[in-house]
Amino acid sequence: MSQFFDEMTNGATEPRPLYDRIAEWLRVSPPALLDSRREQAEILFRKIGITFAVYGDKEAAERLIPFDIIPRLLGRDEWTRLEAGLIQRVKALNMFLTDIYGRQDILRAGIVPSDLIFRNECYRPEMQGHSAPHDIWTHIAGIDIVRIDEEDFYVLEDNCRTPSGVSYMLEDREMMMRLLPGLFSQHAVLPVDNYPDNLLASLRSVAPPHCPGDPCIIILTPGQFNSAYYEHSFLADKLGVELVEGRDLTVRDDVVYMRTTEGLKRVDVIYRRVDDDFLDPLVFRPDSALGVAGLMGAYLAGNVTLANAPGAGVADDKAVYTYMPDIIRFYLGEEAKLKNVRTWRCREPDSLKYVLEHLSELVVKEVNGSGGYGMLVGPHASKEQIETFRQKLLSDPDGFIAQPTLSLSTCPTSFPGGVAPRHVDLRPFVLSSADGARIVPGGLTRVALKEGSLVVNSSQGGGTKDTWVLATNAK
Amino acid sequence: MRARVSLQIEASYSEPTRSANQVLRLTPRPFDGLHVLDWFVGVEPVATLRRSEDGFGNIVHSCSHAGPLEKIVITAEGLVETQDVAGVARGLNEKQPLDLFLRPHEDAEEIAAFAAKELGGEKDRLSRLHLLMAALHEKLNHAPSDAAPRPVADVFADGEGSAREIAQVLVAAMRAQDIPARFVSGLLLDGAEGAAFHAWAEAYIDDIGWIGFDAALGFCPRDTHLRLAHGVGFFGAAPRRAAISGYAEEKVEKRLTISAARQASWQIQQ
Repeated sequence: MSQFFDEMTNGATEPRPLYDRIAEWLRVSPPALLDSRREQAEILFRKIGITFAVYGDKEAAERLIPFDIIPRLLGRDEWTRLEAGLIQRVKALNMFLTDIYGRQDILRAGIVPSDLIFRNECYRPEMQGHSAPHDIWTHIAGIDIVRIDEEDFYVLEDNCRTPSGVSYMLEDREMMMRLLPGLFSQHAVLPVDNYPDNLLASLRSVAPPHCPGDPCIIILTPGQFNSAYYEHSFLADKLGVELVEGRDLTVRDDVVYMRTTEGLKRVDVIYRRVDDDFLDPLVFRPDSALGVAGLMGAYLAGNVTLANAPGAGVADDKAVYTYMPDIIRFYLGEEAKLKNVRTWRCREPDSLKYVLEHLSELVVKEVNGSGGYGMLVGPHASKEQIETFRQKLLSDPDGFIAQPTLSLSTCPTSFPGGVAPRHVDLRPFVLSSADGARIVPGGLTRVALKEGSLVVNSSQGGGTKDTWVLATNAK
Repeated sequence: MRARVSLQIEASYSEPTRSANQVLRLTPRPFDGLHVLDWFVGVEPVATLRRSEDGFGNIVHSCSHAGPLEKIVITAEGLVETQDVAGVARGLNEKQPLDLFLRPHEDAEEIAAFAAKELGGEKDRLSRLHLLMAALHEKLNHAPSDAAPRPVADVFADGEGSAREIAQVLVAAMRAQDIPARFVSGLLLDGAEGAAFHAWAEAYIDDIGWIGFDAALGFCPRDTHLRLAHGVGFFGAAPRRAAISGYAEEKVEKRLTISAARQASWQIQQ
């Protein structure tokens, strides 16, 4: 038990001061109360219709992500440290992308090997020589954070493409205020509900220069069969902007228009939740029916801003991740405030040798994978799984990285009949705009509901928790 | 050779479409083996043609049409003077690093095995490239067509393909040998029948640069090859990409005419 950092108790019998009231509440609440609150939460989520599609699972095409009613707490001092690190990291990511699609100083300086960038499918040659408006490539970044002790935050992964989950951050908060108003009012919880306002302000700030006064902002979704469609419609609703699909847009002479009942309306900023590959059938995949023909032409002509910018995915590659401390040092002349998890790059022969010898202890990930698909968790894998992965590694070492099995921190989590610690991570959302970075205090806490499991991805049976950043310090 | 080239592409739709967007790579870019004396790209119905340069340095025209639209006619014509430079493409505006052209090709295991077997222990890169071209020319029957290329594995298994399909297989084979390789689209100036567009591959050799290899015909590009564009694969170098909104079927007809092919002055002087 003691090998993990428990955020409530830290291995002691008394809770950390931060968690005093939560511990007290858990002590006095009868199990029936927690059970009924949990059931109410599920009914409410079902009514609202927050669902999530799991790819490759026909039985449960639309599933509810389990919600845990015990909040996860962070002190203001902890948050302040985390926030500074996140801003630093996202600033470096944007500078990195500007450089890669521009002068490529970092490659010439030999900091990052160039084959890692150019052989990566996410590097878009179409963007070479073009700058993104205001040099912002990743307007919305989701940085996955884990804790393994009381002091340090580690970055597990950067998400620079179209990170999802922010709707859960907002819905979970509403749910807590509704279900447990007493507990909520005992804590001075910093608000997250200004996220939609911040997002709107960020998107406004990057509108093309020609744009008069009020830019027309839209959200482009792949449609209702996308796993995050709920979030797309949720955000459109909160932002008060139109939710459109590719077929609702048309491009004429490098200008994007939306078809409306009153005719064509010019579009200035597109928050797109469609992957690069599907954005424009004239430039990327020709068989894409989700995108808009001519969209890239309009973007490169500077007539519309795409958030996030095409080609931003090259920065969140898991192999590039391993160079992040160097990338931050190169552009900002600072040491990284958030630590990287120790990572072996299987492309390096010595590392590959080590990884092959220690497969049963390591977590091996595909460089280009996401959502917890295609990874090996050594300690939990069968012999056959390990052998399969050994073959995969040998045939394509460049495609994999390996990390130690992290002792993710745990938080108390409610189950029928009791409360038990479960492993958690945190995905805060960082907004970059022409006038600086914005982060609401909080994020999406994902919890691995299976006992002992370290995989928190919602596609792999993870749940969510509300994250409370308090106005008081943890220490 | 000096040639007057005239290419007409006529796209007609089974029912009027709401709108159409196109990207055209129909303008040759001059290099050591090519003088472009005069060139014109036009579209009917008349629309603004915006000329730009893509990420590879190709000259691109794009245009959009509002419907209802039954037919679009694209014309590309001009006067060019080509020189036989043994396929070496020197003097182009190279914008991308070699690593980009080493991206492994999808589903190319069979092709990689074939390349390894054919090459045996040959060490010299230039000889390996010639061997690969000859082996694929031998193995794949050239059936001219302007259709979108099938996946390389299918073409390789089938044993027959269009010039663009064979070029993609050759690119995959070269990359499997860790040689930077790219796809080139162009026209043939010798009046060959069957398809308007031709395609071949280019591979990089230190000290020489990019050299063309045409496995469909079995030799390196000569003065009959008019180079239009290059890319990582076909779609980055496609002469024309178009999308329409609506459900109409598109039927495309192409006419390529080459005329007044007289000896170029510099050849006479030699």
